[in-house]
Amino acid sequence: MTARKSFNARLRTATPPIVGGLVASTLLITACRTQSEYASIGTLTPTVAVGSRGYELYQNNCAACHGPAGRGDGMFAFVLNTRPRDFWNEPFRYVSTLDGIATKEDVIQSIQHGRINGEMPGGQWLTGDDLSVLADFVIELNRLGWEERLREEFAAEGLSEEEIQEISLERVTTEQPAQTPVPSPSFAADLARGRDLYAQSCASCHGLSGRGDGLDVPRDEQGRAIAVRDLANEPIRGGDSPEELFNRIRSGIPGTPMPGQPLMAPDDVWQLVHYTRYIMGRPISSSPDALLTPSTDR
Amino acid sequence: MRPRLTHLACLMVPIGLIAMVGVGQQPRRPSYEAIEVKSGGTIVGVVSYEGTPPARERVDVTTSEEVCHASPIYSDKLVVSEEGGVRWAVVSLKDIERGKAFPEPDPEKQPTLDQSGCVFKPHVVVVPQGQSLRVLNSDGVLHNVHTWSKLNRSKNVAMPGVIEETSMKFRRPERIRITCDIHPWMEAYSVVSEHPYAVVTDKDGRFKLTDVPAGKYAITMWHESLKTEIIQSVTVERGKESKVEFTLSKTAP
Repeated sequence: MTARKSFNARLRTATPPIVGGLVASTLLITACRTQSEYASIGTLTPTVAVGSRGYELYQNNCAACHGPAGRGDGMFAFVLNTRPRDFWNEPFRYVSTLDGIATKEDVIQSIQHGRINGEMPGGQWLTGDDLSVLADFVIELNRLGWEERLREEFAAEGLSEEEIQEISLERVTTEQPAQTPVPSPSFAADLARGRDLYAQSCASCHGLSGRGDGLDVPRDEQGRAIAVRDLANEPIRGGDSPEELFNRIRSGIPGTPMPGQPLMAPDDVWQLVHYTRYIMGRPISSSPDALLTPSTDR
Repeated sequence: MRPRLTHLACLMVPIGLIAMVGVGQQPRRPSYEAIEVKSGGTIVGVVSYEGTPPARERVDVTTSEEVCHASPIYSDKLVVSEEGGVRWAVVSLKDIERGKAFPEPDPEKQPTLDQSGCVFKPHVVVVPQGQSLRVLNSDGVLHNVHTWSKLNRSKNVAMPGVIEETSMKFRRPERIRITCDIHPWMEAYSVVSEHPYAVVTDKDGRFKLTDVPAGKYAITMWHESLKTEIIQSVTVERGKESKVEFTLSKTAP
Protein backbone atom coordinates (compact mmCIF):
# COMPACT_ATOMS: atom_id res chain seq x y z
CA MET A 1 0.00 0.00 0.00
CA THR A 2 2.78 2.37 0.98
CA ALA A 3 4.58 1.69 -2.24
CA ARG A 4 1.46 2.38 -4.26
CA LYS A 5 0.72 5.54 -2.31
CA SER A 6 4.18 6.87 -2.85
CA PHE A 7 3.96 5.90 -6.52
CA ASN A 8 0.64 7.71 -6.82
CA ALA A 9 2.09 10.68 -5.01
CA ARG A 10 5.02 10.74 -7.37
CA LEU A 11 2.67 10.41 -10.29
CA ARG A 12 0.58 13.32 -9.02
CA THR A 13 3.65 15.52 -8.79
CA ALA A 14 4.86 14.41 -12.17
CA THR A 15 1.50 14.66 -13.93
CA PRO A 16 1.37 18.40 -14.66
CA PRO A 17 4.80 18.51 -16.34
CA ILE A 18 4.14 15.26 -18.24
CA VAL A 19 0.73 16.37 -19.47
CA GLY A 20 2.03 19.85 -20.18
CA GLY A 21 4.96 18.48 -22.12
CA LEU A 22 2.73 16.12 -24.09
CA VAL A 23 0.24 18.83 -24.92
CA ALA A 24 2.98 21.29 -25.86
CA SER A 25 4.83 18.84 -28.07
CA THR A 26 1.58 17.65 -29.68
CA LEU A 27 0.59 21.23 -30.42
CA LEU A 28 4.04 22.00 -31.75
CA ILE A 29 4.11 18.92 -33.94
CA THR A 30 0.58 19.60 -35.18
CA ALA A 31 1.32 23.22 -35.98
CA CYS A 32 4.51 22.38 -37.88
CA ARG A 33 3.01 19.41 -39.69
CA THR A 34 -0.16 21.22 -40.59
CA GLN A 35 1.51 24.18 -42.19
CA SER A 36 4.32 22.38 -43.93
CA GLU A 37 2.42 19.30 -45.07
CA TYR A 38 -0.56 21.25 -46.18
CA ALA A 39 1.53 23.73 -48.10
CA SER A 40 3.36 20.90 -49.81
CA ILE A 41 0.25 19.27 -51.24
CA GLY A 42 0.62 21.12 -54.50
CA THR A 43 -2.19 22.89 -56.24
CA LEU A 44 -4.31 24.78 -53.76
CA THR A 45 -7.48 26.24 -55.17
CA PRO A 46 -9.34 29.04 -53.35
CA THR A 47 -11.78 26.57 -51.77
CA VAL A 48 -8.96 24.84 -49.91
CA ALA A 49 -6.41 27.66 -49.62
CA VAL A 50 -4.54 28.08 -46.35
CA GLY A 51 -6.44 30.51 -44.19
CA SER A 52 -9.77 30.01 -45.94
CA ARG A 53 -12.77 29.28 -43.76
CA GLY A 54 -12.87 25.71 -45.02
CA TYR A 55 -9.22 25.29 -44.11
CA GLU A 56 -9.74 26.56 -40.55
CA LEU A 57 -12.86 24.43 -40.02
CA TYR A 58 -11.14 21.38 -41.47
CA GLN A 59 -8.00 21.77 -39.36
CA ASN A 60 -10.10 22.26 -36.20
CA ASN A 61 -12.60 19.46 -36.74
CA CYS A 62 -11.21 16.84 -39.10
CA ALA A 63 -7.42 16.97 -39.42
CA ALA A 64 -6.66 15.04 -36.23
CA CYS A 65 -7.87 11.84 -37.90
CA HIS A 66 -8.04 12.64 -41.63
CA GLY A 67 -4.61 14.29 -41.59
CA PRO A 68 -3.50 17.89 -42.12
CA ALA A 69 -3.84 17.57 -45.88
CA GLY A 70 -6.73 15.10 -45.89
CA ARG A 71 -4.73 12.03 -46.82
CA GLY A 72 -6.15 9.86 -44.03
CA ASP A 73 -2.98 10.09 -41.96
CA GLY A 74 -3.93 12.22 -38.99
CA MET A 75 -2.08 11.82 -35.70
CA PHE A 76 -4.85 9.66 -34.24
CA ALA A 77 -5.26 7.51 -37.35
CA PHE A 78 -3.03 4.80 -35.94
CA VAL A 79 -5.19 4.20 -32.86
CA LEU A 80 -8.39 3.78 -34.87
CA ASN A 81 -9.75 0.45 -35.99
CA THR A 82 -11.14 2.04 -39.13
CA ARG A 83 -8.77 3.88 -41.38
CA PRO A 84 -9.88 7.49 -41.81
CA ARG A 85 -10.81 8.32 -45.40
CA ASP A 86 -8.03 9.60 -47.63
CA PHE A 87 -9.96 12.32 -49.46
CA TRP A 88 -7.37 12.48 -52.23
CA ASN A 89 -7.39 8.86 -53.25
CA GLU A 90 -10.68 7.30 -52.17
CA PRO A 91 -14.24 8.01 -53.21
CA PHE A 92 -16.85 8.96 -50.64
CA ARG A 93 -18.49 5.74 -49.51
CA TYR A 94 -22.01 6.73 -48.52
CA VAL A 95 -23.87 8.06 -51.50
CA SER A 96 -27.43 8.32 -52.79
CA THR A 97 -26.74 8.60 -56.52
CA LEU A 98 -26.93 6.06 -59.33
CA ASP A 99 -23.39 6.75 -60.57
CA GLY A 100 -21.70 6.35 -57.21
CA ILE A 101 -20.60 9.98 -56.90
CA ALA A 102 -21.52 11.69 -53.64
CA THR A 103 -23.70 14.76 -53.76
CA LYS A 104 -22.82 17.62 -51.45
CA GLU A 105 -25.85 16.63 -49.38
CA ASP A 106 -24.44 13.08 -49.02
CA VAL A 107 -21.15 14.48 -47.72
CA ILE A 108 -22.96 16.83 -45.33
CA GLN A 109 -24.93 13.85 -43.99
CA SER A 110 -21.68 12.01 -43.22
CA ILE A 111 -20.10 15.02 -41.50
CA GLN A 112 -23.21 15.82 -39.51
CA HIS A 113 -24.08 12.33 -38.34
CA GLY A 114 -20.72 10.59 -38.34
CA ARG A 115 -20.49 6.90 -38.99
CA ILE A 116 -22.08 4.39 -36.67
CA ASN A 117 -19.40 1.98 -35.45
CA GLY A 118 -16.97 3.66 -37.80
CA GLU A 119 -15.48 5.78 -35.04
CA MET A 120 -16.20 9.00 -36.85
CA PRO A 121 -18.13 11.27 -34.51
CA GLY A 122 -20.97 13.34 -35.85
CA GLY A 123 -20.39 17.08 -36.00
CA GLN A 124 -23.69 18.06 -34.43
CA TRP A 125 -22.10 21.28 -33.13
CA LEU A 126 -21.47 22.55 -36.66
CA THR A 127 -23.88 25.06 -38.16
CA GLY A 128 -25.50 24.46 -41.52
CA ASP A 129 -23.12 26.93 -43.12
CA ASP A 130 -20.06 25.28 -41.52
CA LEU A 131 -21.24 21.92 -42.86
CA SER A 132 -21.65 23.35 -46.33
CA VAL A 133 -18.16 24.92 -46.30
CA LEU A 134 -16.60 21.71 -44.98
CA ALA A 135 -18.37 19.59 -47.58
CA ASP A 136 -17.07 21.86 -50.35
CA PHE A 137 -13.61 21.60 -48.82
CA VAL A 138 -13.39 17.80 -48.77
CA ILE A 139 -15.05 17.44 -52.19
CA GLU A 140 -12.42 19.82 -53.56
CA LEU A 141 -9.66 17.67 -51.99
CA ASN A 142 -11.24 14.69 -53.72
CA ARG A 143 -11.17 16.55 -57.03
CA LEU A 144 -7.54 17.59 -56.49
CA GLY A 145 -6.72 13.92 -55.94
CA TRP A 146 -8.12 13.16 -59.39
CA GLU A 147 -6.10 16.01 -60.84
CA GLU A 148 -2.98 14.62 -59.23
CA ARG A 149 -3.52 11.08 -60.51
CA LEU A 150 -4.57 12.12 -64.01
CA ARG A 151 -1.53 14.38 -64.33
CA GLU A 152 0.78 11.64 -63.11
CA GLU A 153 -0.64 8.97 -65.38
CA PHE A 154 -1.79 10.73 -68.54
CA ALA A 155 0.02 14.06 -68.93
CA ALA A 156 2.95 12.31 -70.63
CA GLU A 157 0.48 10.72 -73.06
CA GLY A 158 -0.73 14.14 -74.11
CA LEU A 159 -3.72 14.75 -71.83
CA SER A 160 -3.89 18.54 -71.67
CA GLU A 161 -4.19 20.59 -68.49
CA GLU A 162 -7.63 21.70 -69.69
CA GLU A 163 -8.77 18.09 -70.01
CA ILE A 164 -7.32 17.24 -66.59
CA GLN A 165 -9.41 20.04 -65.07
CA GLU A 166 -12.51 18.95 -66.96
CA ILE A 167 -12.21 15.27 -66.08
CA SER A 168 -11.30 15.84 -62.42
CA LEU A 169 -14.44 17.95 -62.03
CA GLU A 170 -16.52 15.32 -63.81
CA ARG A 171 -15.23 12.63 -61.44
CA VAL A 172 -16.67 14.42 -58.39
CA THR A 173 -19.90 15.67 -59.97
CA THR A 174 -22.84 13.32 -60.12
CA GLU A 175 -24.75 12.98 -63.34
CA GLN A 176 -27.45 10.88 -61.74
CA PRO A 177 -28.66 12.40 -58.50
CA ALA A 178 -31.49 10.27 -57.25
CA GLN A 179 -34.41 10.82 -54.96
CA THR A 180 -35.28 7.90 -52.77
CA PRO A 181 -38.43 6.65 -54.50
CA VAL A 182 -41.57 6.03 -52.54
CA PRO A 183 -42.75 2.39 -52.69
CA SER A 184 -45.47 1.92 -55.29
CA PRO A 185 -49.10 1.93 -54.02
CA SER A 186 -49.34 -1.83 -54.52
CA PHE A 187 -46.18 -2.50 -52.49
CA ALA A 188 -46.52 -5.01 -49.68
CA ALA A 189 -43.65 -6.35 -47.64
CA ASP A 190 -43.00 -9.95 -48.65
CA LEU A 191 -40.17 -11.69 -46.83
CA ALA A 192 -40.21 -14.66 -49.21
CA ARG A 193 -39.64 -12.32 -52.13
CA GLY A 194 -36.98 -10.50 -50.09
CA ARG A 195 -35.24 -13.79 -49.33
CA ASP A 196 -35.15 -14.73 -53.04
CA LEU A 197 -33.77 -11.32 -54.00
CA TYR A 198 -31.23 -11.54 -51.20
CA ALA A 199 -30.09 -14.99 -52.39
CA GLN A 200 -29.69 -13.66 -55.94
CA SER A 201 -28.03 -10.35 -55.25
CA CYS A 202 -26.46 -10.27 -51.80
CA ALA A 203 -25.65 -13.76 -50.53
CA SER A 204 -22.53 -14.20 -52.70
CA CYS A 205 -20.73 -11.77 -50.39
CA HIS A 206 -22.86 -11.35 -47.26
CA GLY A 207 -23.56 -15.09 -46.98
CA LEU A 208 -26.95 -16.78 -47.05
CA SER A 209 -27.54 -16.07 -43.38
CA GLY A 210 -26.13 -12.56 -43.58
CA ARG A 211 -23.01 -13.20 -41.56
CA GLY A 212 -20.63 -11.65 -44.04
CA ASP A 213 -18.99 -14.96 -44.83
CA GLY A 214 -19.51 -15.20 -48.58
CA LEU A 215 -16.18 -13.94 -49.91
CA ASP A 216 -12.69 -15.13 -49.11
CA VAL A 217 -10.60 -11.98 -48.94
CA PRO A 218 -12.55 -8.98 -50.18
CA ARG A 219 -10.41 -5.94 -50.91
CA ASP A 220 -11.17 -2.29 -51.35
CA GLU A 221 -9.97 -0.38 -54.43
CA GLN A 222 -6.74 0.44 -52.62
CA GLY A 223 -6.08 -3.30 -52.36
CA ARG A 224 -6.52 -3.44 -48.59
CA ALA A 225 -8.32 -6.41 -47.09
CA ILE A 226 -11.69 -5.35 -45.75
CA ALA A 227 -14.59 -7.10 -44.07
CA VAL A 228 -17.95 -7.80 -45.60
CA ARG A 229 -20.54 -6.49 -43.19
CA ASP A 230 -22.03 -9.13 -40.91
CA LEU A 231 -25.62 -7.96 -41.27
CA ALA A 232 -26.85 -10.20 -38.50
CA ASN A 233 -24.48 -8.94 -35.81
CA GLU A 234 -22.76 -5.70 -36.70
CA PRO A 235 -24.14 -2.19 -36.87
CA ILE A 236 -24.50 -0.88 -40.43
CA ARG A 237 -21.91 1.82 -40.88
CA GLY A 238 -23.90 3.82 -43.40
CA GLY A 239 -26.94 3.90 -41.11
CA ASP A 240 -29.86 1.51 -40.90
CA SER A 241 -32.93 3.62 -41.43
CA PRO A 242 -34.98 2.25 -44.33
CA GLU A 243 -33.90 5.14 -46.54
CA GLU A 244 -30.22 4.71 -45.76
CA LEU A 245 -30.44 0.97 -46.40
CA PHE A 246 -32.25 1.69 -49.65
CA ASN A 247 -29.43 3.99 -50.79
CA ARG A 248 -26.68 1.56 -49.74
CA ILE A 249 -28.32 -1.25 -51.71
CA ARG A 250 -29.18 0.77 -54.78
CA SER A 251 -26.01 2.89 -54.99
CA GLY A 252 -23.54 0.33 -53.66
CA ILE A 253 -20.49 1.46 -51.72
CA PRO A 254 -17.97 3.16 -54.03
CA GLY A 255 -14.35 2.20 -53.49
CA THR A 256 -15.33 -1.25 -52.22
CA PRO A 257 -16.46 -4.42 -54.01
CA MET A 258 -20.10 -3.69 -53.14
CA PRO A 259 -21.83 -2.93 -56.44
CA GLY A 260 -24.86 -0.76 -56.96
CA GLN A 261 -28.18 -2.26 -58.05
CA PRO A 262 -29.28 0.23 -60.70
CA LEU A 263 -30.89 -2.64 -62.64
CA MET A 264 -33.18 -3.64 -59.78
CA ALA A 265 -36.75 -2.30 -59.59
CA PRO A 266 -37.16 0.15 -56.68
CA ASP A 267 -39.90 -1.97 -55.10
CA ASP A 268 -37.50 -4.93 -55.09
CA VAL A 269 -34.89 -2.78 -53.35
CA TRP A 270 -37.56 -1.98 -50.75
CA GLN A 271 -38.16 -5.72 -50.33
CA LEU A 272 -34.44 -6.08 -49.67
CA VAL A 273 -34.61 -3.28 -47.11
CA HIS A 274 -37.33 -5.26 -45.31
CA TYR A 275 -35.36 -8.47 -45.56
CA THR A 276 -32.12 -6.85 -44.36
CA ARG A 277 -33.85 -5.44 -41.30
CA TYR A 278 -35.34 -8.90 -40.73
CA ILE A 279 -31.84 -10.44 -40.78
CA MET A 280 -30.66 -7.72 -38.41
CA GLY A 281 -33.36 -8.84 -35.98
CA ARG A 282 -35.14 -5.50 -36.20
CA PRO A 283 -37.92 -6.04 -38.71
CA ILE A 284 -39.85 -3.07 -39.99
CA SER A 285 -43.60 -3.00 -39.65
CA SER A 286 -45.15 -3.98 -42.95
CA SER A 287 -47.07 -0.73 -43.27
CA PRO A 288 -45.61 1.20 -46.23
CA ASP A 289 -45.23 4.30 -44.04
CA ALA A 290 -42.72 2.46 -41.88
CA LEU A 291 -40.24 2.57 -44.76
CA LEU A 292 -40.21 6.32 -44.72
CA THR A 293 -39.66 6.77 -41.00
CA PRO A 294 -36.21 8.14 -40.19
CA SER A 295 -33.85 6.10 -38.04
CA THR A 296 -34.09 6.54 -34.31
CA ASP A 297 -30.63 5.13 -33.61
CA ARG A 298 -28.54 8.20 -34.02
CA MET B 1 -6.23 37.80 -38.84
CA ARG B 2 -2.86 39.17 -39.82
CA PRO B 3 -1.48 37.41 -42.88
CA ARG B 4 1.55 35.48 -41.71
CA LEU B 5 4.68 34.96 -43.75
CA THR B 6 4.00 31.21 -43.95
CA HIS B 7 0.54 31.89 -45.36
CA LEU B 8 1.99 34.14 -48.02
CA ALA B 9 4.62 31.53 -48.81
CA CYS B 10 1.88 28.91 -49.16
CA LEU B 11 -0.01 31.16 -51.54
CA MET B 12 3.07 31.53 -53.73
CA VAL B 13 3.07 27.80 -54.46
CA PRO B 14 -0.25 27.72 -56.35
CA ILE B 15 0.47 31.01 -58.07
CA GLY B 16 3.79 29.63 -59.27
CA LEU B 17 2.16 26.40 -60.40
CA ILE B 18 -0.60 28.18 -62.28
CA ALA B 19 2.01 30.37 -63.98
CA MET B 20 4.06 27.30 -64.98
CA VAL B 21 1.01 25.47 -66.27
CA GLY B 22 -0.15 28.53 -68.16
CA VAL B 23 3.14 28.85 -70.00
CA GLY B 24 3.59 25.19 -70.80
CA GLN B 25 -0.03 24.36 -71.60
CA GLN B 26 -0.37 21.77 -74.31
CA PRO B 27 -2.95 22.19 -77.02
CA ARG B 28 -5.95 19.89 -76.82
CA ARG B 29 -5.34 16.74 -78.78
CA PRO B 30 -6.87 17.03 -82.23
CA SER B 31 -9.92 14.85 -82.51
CA TYR B 32 -10.30 12.23 -85.19
CA GLU B 33 -11.91 13.12 -88.50
CA ALA B 34 -13.59 10.42 -90.58
CA ILE B 35 -12.92 10.70 -94.31
CA GLU B 36 -13.39 8.45 -97.30
CA VAL B 37 -10.22 6.40 -97.75
CA LYS B 38 -9.54 5.45 -101.35
CA SER B 39 -6.78 2.96 -102.09
CA GLY B 40 -5.32 3.05 -98.61
CA GLY B 41 -2.66 0.66 -97.46
CA THR B 42 -2.73 -2.29 -95.08
CA ILE B 43 -0.64 -2.96 -92.02
CA VAL B 44 -0.20 -6.59 -91.03
CA GLY B 45 1.96 -8.11 -88.39
CA VAL B 46 2.39 -10.28 -85.38
CA VAL B 47 3.15 -9.87 -81.71
CA SER B 48 5.66 -12.52 -80.62
CA TYR B 49 6.76 -13.67 -77.22
CA GLU B 50 10.49 -13.65 -76.65
CA GLY B 51 11.74 -16.79 -74.94
CA THR B 52 9.80 -19.70 -73.53
CA PRO B 53 6.31 -18.65 -72.52
CA PRO B 54 5.11 -19.77 -69.10
CA ALA B 55 2.27 -22.30 -69.09
CA ARG B 56 -1.20 -20.82 -68.71
CA GLU B 57 -2.11 -20.75 -65.08
CA ARG B 58 -5.17 -22.68 -63.96
CA VAL B 59 -7.48 -20.53 -61.87
CA ASP B 60 -8.35 -21.60 -58.36
CA VAL B 61 -12.14 -21.37 -58.31
CA THR B 62 -13.30 -20.34 -54.85
CA THR B 63 -16.81 -18.96 -55.27
CA SER B 64 -20.05 -19.94 -57.05
CA GLU B 65 -18.44 -23.34 -57.43
CA GLU B 66 -21.43 -25.12 -58.95
CA VAL B 67 -21.40 -22.77 -61.96
CA CYS B 68 -17.73 -21.79 -62.20
CA HIS B 69 -16.47 -25.35 -61.88
CA ALA B 70 -18.35 -26.48 -65.00
CA SER B 71 -15.06 -26.53 -66.89
CA PRO B 72 -11.50 -25.69 -65.84
CA ILE B 73 -10.62 -22.00 -66.10
CA TYR B 74 -7.24 -20.88 -67.38
CA SER B 75 -5.92 -17.37 -66.93
CA ASP B 76 -6.06 -15.07 -69.97
CA LYS B 77 -3.31 -12.82 -68.64
CA LEU B 78 -0.70 -14.25 -71.00
CA VAL B 79 -1.83 -16.49 -73.85
CA VAL B 80 0.92 -17.54 -76.26
CA SER B 81 0.44 -19.86 -79.24
CA GLU B 82 2.75 -22.77 -80.03
CA GLU B 83 4.50 -20.58 -82.58
CA GLY B 84 4.97 -17.86 -79.97
CA GLY B 85 2.20 -15.46 -81.03
CA VAL B 86 0.74 -13.35 -78.21
CA ARG B 87 -3.05 -13.22 -78.02
CA TRP B 88 -5.01 -10.31 -76.51
CA ALA B 89 -2.51 -7.59 -77.35
CA VAL B 90 -3.93 -4.32 -78.68
CA VAL B 91 -2.35 -2.76 -81.75
CA SER B 92 -3.37 0.76 -82.62
CA LEU B 93 -2.33 3.77 -84.67
CA LYS B 94 -1.42 6.53 -82.26
CA ASP B 95 -2.75 10.04 -82.79
CA ILE B 96 -4.03 9.34 -86.30
CA GLU B 97 -6.00 12.44 -87.29
CA ARG B 98 -7.87 11.33 -90.41
CA GLY B 99 -9.00 7.98 -91.72
CA LYS B 100 -11.93 5.69 -92.40
CA ALA B 101 -15.14 5.89 -90.43
CA PHE B 102 -16.29 3.18 -88.06
CA PRO B 103 -18.62 0.71 -89.77
CA GLU B 104 -22.29 1.61 -89.28
CA PRO B 105 -23.39 0.33 -85.86
CA ASP B 106 -24.85 -3.11 -86.42
CA PRO B 107 -26.90 -4.71 -83.64
CA GLU B 108 -25.51 -8.09 -84.71
CA LYS B 109 -21.94 -6.95 -84.29
CA GLN B 110 -22.27 -4.70 -81.26
CA PRO B 111 -19.16 -4.84 -79.05
CA THR B 112 -20.07 -7.36 -76.41
CA LEU B 113 -18.62 -8.58 -73.16
CA ASP B 114 -20.14 -11.81 -71.95
CA GLN B 115 -19.79 -13.36 -68.52
CA SER B 116 -19.84 -17.03 -69.28
CA GLY B 117 -18.44 -19.90 -67.25
CA CYS B 118 -17.18 -17.23 -64.81
CA VAL B 119 -14.90 -15.77 -67.47
CA PHE B 120 -15.22 -12.48 -69.33
CA LYS B 121 -15.46 -13.23 -73.04
CA PRO B 122 -13.67 -11.85 -74.93
CA HIS B 123 -10.79 -10.95 -72.65
CA VAL B 124 -10.16 -7.74 -74.60
CA VAL B 125 -12.88 -5.91 -76.52
CA VAL B 126 -12.55 -2.77 -78.63
CA VAL B 127 -15.44 -0.31 -78.29
CA PRO B 128 -15.85 2.53 -80.81
CA GLN B 129 -16.04 5.84 -78.95
CA GLY B 130 -19.67 6.88 -78.61
CA GLN B 131 -21.01 3.34 -78.92
CA SER B 132 -22.20 1.19 -76.05
CA LEU B 133 -20.63 -1.95 -74.74
CA ARG B 134 -23.22 -4.70 -74.44
CA VAL B 135 -22.67 -6.64 -71.23
CA LEU B 136 -24.19 -10.10 -70.89
CA ASN B 137 -24.53 -12.49 -68.00
CA SER B 138 -24.94 -16.02 -69.36
CA ASP B 139 -24.14 -17.68 -66.04
CA GLY B 140 -27.34 -17.23 -64.05
CA VAL B 141 -25.30 -16.29 -60.97
CA LEU B 142 -24.47 -12.88 -59.54
CA HIS B 143 -21.59 -11.07 -61.19
CA ASN B 144 -20.57 -7.46 -60.61
CA VAL B 145 -19.14 -5.47 -63.47
CA HIS B 146 -16.58 -3.17 -61.88
CA THR B 147 -14.77 -0.75 -64.18
CA TRP B 148 -11.48 0.82 -63.13
CA SER B 149 -11.68 3.70 -65.56
CA LYS B 150 -9.96 6.98 -64.82
CA LEU B 151 -10.74 9.23 -67.77
CA ASN B 152 -14.31 7.93 -67.74
CA ARG B 153 -16.70 7.66 -64.82
CA SER B 154 -16.21 4.31 -63.14
CA LYS B 155 -19.04 1.88 -62.56
CA ASN B 156 -19.71 -1.06 -60.32
CA VAL B 157 -22.98 -2.65 -61.33
CA ALA B 158 -24.50 -5.81 -59.90
CA MET B 159 -25.80 -8.25 -62.50
CA PRO B 160 -27.80 -10.86 -60.63
CA GLY B 161 -28.40 -14.08 -62.52
CA VAL B 162 -31.91 -13.00 -63.48
CA ILE B 163 -30.53 -10.06 -65.48
CA GLU B 164 -29.10 -11.25 -68.76
CA GLU B 165 -28.11 -8.01 -70.40
CA THR B 166 -27.18 -4.41 -69.78
CA SER B 167 -25.00 -1.85 -71.53
CA MET B 168 -22.31 0.65 -70.64
CA LYS B 169 -21.12 3.74 -72.41
CA PHE B 170 -17.74 5.44 -72.06
CA ARG B 171 -17.25 8.98 -73.33
CA ARG B 172 -13.50 9.11 -73.75
CA PRO B 173 -10.89 6.88 -75.36
CA GLU B 174 -9.30 4.77 -72.64
CA ARG B 175 -8.13 1.24 -71.90
CA ILE B 176 -10.43 0.21 -69.10
CA ARG B 177 -9.80 -2.69 -66.79
CA ILE B 178 -12.98 -4.51 -65.79
CA THR B 179 -13.23 -6.96 -62.93
CA CYS B 180 -15.77 -8.96 -60.98
CA ASP B 181 -15.15 -8.82 -57.24
CA ILE B 182 -17.18 -11.93 -56.53
CA HIS B 183 -14.96 -14.00 -58.82
CA PRO B 184 -11.56 -12.35 -58.35
CA TRP B 185 -9.96 -14.13 -61.30
CA MET B 186 -12.38 -12.50 -63.73
CA GLU B 187 -10.70 -9.68 -65.59
CA ALA B 188 -11.22 -8.03 -68.97
CA TYR B 189 -10.15 -4.90 -70.81
CA SER B 190 -12.41 -2.64 -72.78
CA VAL B 191 -10.48 -0.47 -75.20
CA VAL B 192 -12.47 2.62 -76.14
CA SER B 193 -11.03 3.94 -79.38
CA GLU B 194 -11.82 7.14 -81.23
CA HIS B 195 -10.83 5.59 -84.55
CA PRO B 196 -11.21 2.16 -86.19
CA TYR B 197 -7.47 1.52 -86.37
CA ALA B 198 -7.35 -0.37 -83.08
CA VAL B 199 -7.46 -4.16 -83.10
CA VAL B 200 -6.85 -7.10 -80.78
CA THR B 201 -4.38 -9.80 -81.81
CA ASP B 202 -5.87 -13.21 -82.64
CA LYS B 203 -4.90 -16.59 -81.19
CA ASP B 204 -1.76 -16.62 -83.36
CA GLY B 205 -0.75 -13.13 -82.25
CA ARG B 206 -1.62 -11.67 -85.66
CA PHE B 207 -3.27 -8.35 -86.45
CA LYS B 208 -4.36 -6.46 -89.56
CA LEU B 209 -5.27 -2.81 -90.04
CA THR B 210 -6.94 -2.04 -93.35
CA ASP B 211 -7.72 1.10 -95.38
CA VAL B 212 -5.00 3.17 -93.77
CA PRO B 213 -4.40 6.43 -95.63
CA ALA B 214 -0.85 6.60 -97.01
CA GLY B 215 1.55 8.25 -94.60
CA LYS B 216 3.91 7.74 -91.70
CA TYR B 217 2.40 6.69 -88.37
CA ALA B 218 3.31 5.80 -84.85
CA ILE B 219 1.93 2.32 -84.20
CA THR B 220 1.55 1.09 -80.65
CA MET B 221 1.27 -2.31 -79.05
CA TRP B 222 -0.12 -2.75 -75.58
CA HIS B 223 -0.43 -5.90 -73.56
CA GLU B 224 -1.66 -6.06 -69.98
CA SER B 225 1.74 -7.28 -68.80
CA LEU B 226 3.28 -4.00 -69.98
CA LYS B 227 3.35 -0.83 -67.91
CA THR B 228 3.54 1.34 -71.02
CA GLU B 229 2.76 0.64 -74.62
CA ILE B 230 5.52 -0.14 -77.13
CA ILE B 231 5.74 2.32 -80.02
CA GLN B 232 7.21 1.84 -83.49
CA SER B 233 6.93 3.81 -86.65
CA VAL B 234 5.40 2.51 -89.86
CA THR B 235 5.09 3.92 -93.35
CA VAL B 236 1.98 3.07 -95.33
CA GLU B 237 1.88 3.33 -99.12
CA ARG B 238 -1.18 3.36 -101.37
CA GLY B 239 -2.47 -0.12 -102.08
CA LYS B 240 0.49 -1.80 -100.43
CA GLU B 241 0.99 -3.96 -97.37
CA SER B 242 3.36 -2.87 -94.61
CA LYS B 243 4.68 -5.39 -92.10
CA VAL B 244 5.20 -4.65 -88.43
CA GLU B 245 6.54 -7.00 -85.78
CA PHE B 246 6.31 -6.48 -82.07
CA THR B 247 8.07 -8.46 -79.39
CA LEU B 248 6.83 -9.00 -75.88
CA SER B 249 9.61 -10.04 -73.57
CA LYS B 250 9.48 -11.32 -70.05
CA THR B 251 11.71 -8.48 -68.92
CA ALA B 252 9.65 -5.75 -70.60
CA PRO B 253 8.97 -2.67 -68.44
